[in-house]
Amino acid sequence: MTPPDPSRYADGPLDPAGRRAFAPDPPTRADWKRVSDGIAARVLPKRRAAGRGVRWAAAGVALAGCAAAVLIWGGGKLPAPRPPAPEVVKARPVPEADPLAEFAVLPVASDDELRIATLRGDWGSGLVVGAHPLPGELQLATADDVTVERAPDGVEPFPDDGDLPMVLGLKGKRSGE
Amino acid sequence: MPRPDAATDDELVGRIARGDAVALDELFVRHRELAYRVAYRLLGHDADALDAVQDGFVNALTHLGRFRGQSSFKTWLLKIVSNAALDIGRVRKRRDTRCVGTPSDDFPTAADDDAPPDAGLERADLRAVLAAALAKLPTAQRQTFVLHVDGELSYKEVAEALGISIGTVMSRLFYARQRLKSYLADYVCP
Repeated sequence: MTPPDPSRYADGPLDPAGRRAFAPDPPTRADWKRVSDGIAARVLPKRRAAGRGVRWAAAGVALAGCAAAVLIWGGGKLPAPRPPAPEVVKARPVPEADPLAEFAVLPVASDDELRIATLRGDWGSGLVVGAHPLPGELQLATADDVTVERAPDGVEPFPDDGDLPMVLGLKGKRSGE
Repeated sequence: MPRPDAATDDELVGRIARGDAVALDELFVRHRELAYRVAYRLLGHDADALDAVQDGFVNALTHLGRFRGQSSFKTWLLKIVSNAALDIGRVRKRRDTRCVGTPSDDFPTAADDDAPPDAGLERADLRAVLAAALAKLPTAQRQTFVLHVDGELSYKEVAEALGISIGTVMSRLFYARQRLKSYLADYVCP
């Protein structure tokens, strides 16, 4: 049987014949048995142990209930209730590594979707009036579209395998440079 | 493909949670080949792939609290198997020397001097070729491509499994295909 052209794999998903042609040799029955036994050993006892834990917890609750009843009926004083626990403050969520990961194309707002209330700082010379600087949709670049000629030491230009979409912009020169 | 009267994955998972070994065996047999294919393609090594399948099943079944209601068990399992495979791949260097080093050296080509001209591309060579080509892809693209092509997950299922948008799945697949075609273009089947 003639082996298939390897480049066909890149066109996947494959039809059943293609899947058979490119599939690895199946493990032996003994291999499957070893894996299956390993899974059972790590999953099933844990579940049984969890069941035992529930039973122990139930027994503990029942015992505590009995002790409380004895204290109340016996006229014993229950300890004063504890002061309320301090308010739990939720930690701020850690921002996603790439806020643009959800977008292949970035929609750009139009002027009727924006109302400028105030401007702080020296925006007077930079504010574009009368024309959209980025009309329509913004096609995001990927690592394939970019060549990094220089990067500071220790800076990884394309983290996370470099296939994340990114926005590029021209960097203006500072005066005197 | 399970029989029409067979228990669903959810039913089997429920029985496994109660310690049912028969249900565990049935679920394992149902999904093991797909899981193995995904793990093998990400690792290029059969013993490592079996370890990834084992770790994947164990982790999938012991972290069900994070799974319920979010996707099918198959999607959940393949996500975890593929993560286990990538972890194993990071920890253990590939032992098959055909799958490491510079790819141009790794690829067994029909033009190899030692190979008889009519030797053809045997199945083992074919697997080595694919493993070497896949190894050159960025991890995220490789995982996305393998889950879709070898794991037979739809765009939507891959997106659910990896926690990314369908657009990102499509983008990764596009670049993965381009690169794979480029890597595999040197091959001419005899």
